[in-house]
Amino acid sequence: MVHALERIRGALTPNGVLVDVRPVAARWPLDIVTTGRAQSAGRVDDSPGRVDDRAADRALRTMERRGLFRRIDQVTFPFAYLWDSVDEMSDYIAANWEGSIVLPERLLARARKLEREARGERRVRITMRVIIRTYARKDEPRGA
Amino acid sequence: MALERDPHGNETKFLHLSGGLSGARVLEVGCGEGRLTWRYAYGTRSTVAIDPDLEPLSTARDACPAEWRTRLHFVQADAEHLPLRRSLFDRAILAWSL
Repeated sequence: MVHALERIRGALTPNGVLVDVRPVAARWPLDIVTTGRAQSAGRVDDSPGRVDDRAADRALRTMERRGLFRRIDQVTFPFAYLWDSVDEMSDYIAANWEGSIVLPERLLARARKLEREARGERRVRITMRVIIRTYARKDEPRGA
Repeated sequence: MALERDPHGNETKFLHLSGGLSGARVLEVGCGEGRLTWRYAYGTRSTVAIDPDLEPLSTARDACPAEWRTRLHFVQADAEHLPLRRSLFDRAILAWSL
């Protein structure tokens, strides 16, 4: 990861900026959404993804410590995924996020119950937390 | 209704606010099928979007509007072996890829 960041830094102009965009594990909420209403089924277990988060954070801190990047700013915001049903959501997670997210049985049961009880059009929503951090490229420290 | 992502466009909004991408020469790392690329590339001077996997890259290339093809390029590469000149880009975006 650090090696990749070194290469990316080399591709930047001296005033260049690195923009790191990624979701961060934060026990994302799972809701059943109907017109004008969202009912919470609970939170997904995204703890497996924290290993990747920590590795990425460590790599960036290494670059900062070595004087190669300086952090400029950081913002976080919600990023929602919406499916038509709990089954669609489960299939999507199994196909795309295996190893990053676990849906505990109790959470799934609660989501299915809310889905059955919901009136009218309903959707299933997981709201991720996404972070954008920006870093200015710094010159190589003297003597490096 | 199909899968919907970020219906309020938060990512696009915050990417533009934070990234200073307008008029910039941009390198995007881990572009996949171009999900993020389509959200910002129209405003850049040029964009090179890389991904190690050919299949999603092909999808992105096929979806690229003809009028963008002179300044938006999808390249099979990974960040550790960048086949690019040094000091070429004003911005480098890690697109959910670090």
